[in-house]
Amino acid sequence: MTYAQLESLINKWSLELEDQEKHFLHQATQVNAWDRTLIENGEKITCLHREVEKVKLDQKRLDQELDFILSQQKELEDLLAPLEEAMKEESGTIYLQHADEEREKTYKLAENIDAQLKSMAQDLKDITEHLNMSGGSPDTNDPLQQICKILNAHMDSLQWIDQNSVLLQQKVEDVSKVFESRRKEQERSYRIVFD
Amino acid sequence: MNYASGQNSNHYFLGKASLCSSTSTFGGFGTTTTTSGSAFSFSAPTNTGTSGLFGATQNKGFGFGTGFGTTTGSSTGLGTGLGFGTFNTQQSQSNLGGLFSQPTQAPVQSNQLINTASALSAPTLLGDERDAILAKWNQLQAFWGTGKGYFNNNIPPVEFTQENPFCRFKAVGYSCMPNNKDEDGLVVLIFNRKEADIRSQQQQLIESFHKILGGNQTLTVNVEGVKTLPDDQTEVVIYVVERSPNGTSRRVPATTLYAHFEQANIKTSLQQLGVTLSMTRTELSPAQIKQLLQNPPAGVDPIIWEQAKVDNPDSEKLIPVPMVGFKELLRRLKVQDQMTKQHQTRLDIISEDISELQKNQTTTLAKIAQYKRKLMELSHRTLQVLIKQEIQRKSGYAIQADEEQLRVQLDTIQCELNAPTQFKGRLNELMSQIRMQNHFGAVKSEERYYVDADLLREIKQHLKQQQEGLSHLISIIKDDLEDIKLIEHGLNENIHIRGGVFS
Repeated sequence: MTYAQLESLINKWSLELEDQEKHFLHQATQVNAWDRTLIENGEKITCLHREVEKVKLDQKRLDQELDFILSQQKELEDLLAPLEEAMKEESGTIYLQHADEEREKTYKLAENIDAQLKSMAQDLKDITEHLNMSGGSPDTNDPLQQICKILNAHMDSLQWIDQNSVLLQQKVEDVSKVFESRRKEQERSYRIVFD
Repeated sequence: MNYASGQNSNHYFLGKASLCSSTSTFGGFGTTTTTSGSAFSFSAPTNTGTSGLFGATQNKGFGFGTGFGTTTGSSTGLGTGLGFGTFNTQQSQSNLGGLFSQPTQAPVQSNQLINTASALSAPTLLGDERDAILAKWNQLQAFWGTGKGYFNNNIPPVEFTQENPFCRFKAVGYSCMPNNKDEDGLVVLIFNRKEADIRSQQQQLIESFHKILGGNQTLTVNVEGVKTLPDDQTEVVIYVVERSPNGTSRRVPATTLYAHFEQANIKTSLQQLGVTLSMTRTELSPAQIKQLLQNPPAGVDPIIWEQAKVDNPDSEKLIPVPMVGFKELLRRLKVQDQMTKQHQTRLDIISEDISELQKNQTTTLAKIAQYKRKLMELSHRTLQVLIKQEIQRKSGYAIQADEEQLRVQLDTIQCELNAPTQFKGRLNELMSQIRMQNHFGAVKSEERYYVDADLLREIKQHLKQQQEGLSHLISIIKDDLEDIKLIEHGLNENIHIRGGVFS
């Protein structure tokens, strides 16, 4: 090989080298970009996994609570059944007094009302379900939607008020009971001291 | 499964040349890998430059040489060599000794640089214009990073490696740093067997490890994680727990374990098991990191290095690492591939989990509805039983006052319920409407119902008043609750005081 040939080869190879270098750098940047994406993906997957685990735990807890409720209901039913049996057998007595009939009417009325209320509640539930399903969700600026939300919020606060007023009443009763007993003790102790 | 803060990572042994002294030491250093500590570590395998590890023994003397690393001259090359020497307390002494005992090495480095320079610019082999061609040829070789550069009749040719500063195929990538401490005692072993093999024989591997460690009863070998690497290799991370006779247990620190593995006889027995490489997985101390960052490795332009540091997308977890040659890129790509496959499997698992959760959700909802209905039924039945009992209990008595009251209340409720425009009436209307809708198919009315503006204002007014009323009520209740709490608190205190007085 002559040096001239060598020179031409060298020149050719230099051009190839340029090309390859460009490829290399291009690939390197790609590799780096992919690295970054992979890292991000990894982090996202970790987050996702954590969320899923949380949801799993919540669901498990929910299931446990439901099982508890089921067992409680079964217990209640077991208690009720013999009582109902007993009731059925003894309901053969004759009501002699007018007062008894009145009483019976009153209580039957109560039972009737209870049944009505329950069926109404069920109807309400069905209606709300139906509405919720078919209502869809137009834009949130719709005044009807807003009114709806406000009414819901009012409803919640009314329920809260209801619960808490009952709670308050109970507490007042408890406190007054404790207070009464305390007062009686004090009176007794004073009488002991001063007698 | 636990997820580590899964970072992508690559093991890297930084440049064979200038940091050879470090290869054996920086188990942690070289392994710019992810946080391990979980079955799900995203760590990746080591470089093919790992031959540097087992081959470090050869390069020890020469390690401090190759001032190629810094174009600022041989003296700083020595400086960095010394600096890196300190990282490995055991090795550095011998290396330093080696360095000082061979002062002739220093001139060799500077000679190399001079030789390269002359090879690239002015070889004097042939003494005529063909030298220019030779110069071009040498340059080409230098750019490629391979070959020999002849430039003088008397001096042997300069070897061009990929680390030389003129090699064109260089770029900087990023790798993840581990953040395990030495006390975590994690040592990484690379096996040249498939992951499936390793997994099926995991128990036997553990036992053989145990034997290698001396079969000590106080030591237990635990496997932290198994990962597949490309080219049918597997990475196993282990740690050894030592139980002392007084009951406490601790993990054998990574460095001691690693040093133990490095002993010649142990190493051979490890190699028989198929271990190609071992290193510690410990975090890099800030000093190490600083050193790393400040000194661009072999052949990388300082400017580029600085730029790479600036471009670092996450300077807490990643450090820049040179990528030299297409082979390196290929390796990285393979690791990325691996990683993506892992991602994919994890995602599949997660999606299965999610569909499972959705199924459970529907069953739960059905259960809840069922229980609610049951509750209503039970409560009604309870009421019935109560009523029957009451009637029987009180049979013979006259109507009592509270019974009268009850009667009156119930009557009112009944009237209200039956009132035509309230409650039952309206509900029935709604129900029939809905049934009609269902019967005729739910025609979704696209008509928008526009509320009259005046009406809207009235409604707003009304709602506002309602809101105020509600908030008023709520505040009253809250105040009362507070008062009750105070009273209770006072009463309880009194008990304690009085208890003290009368005891």
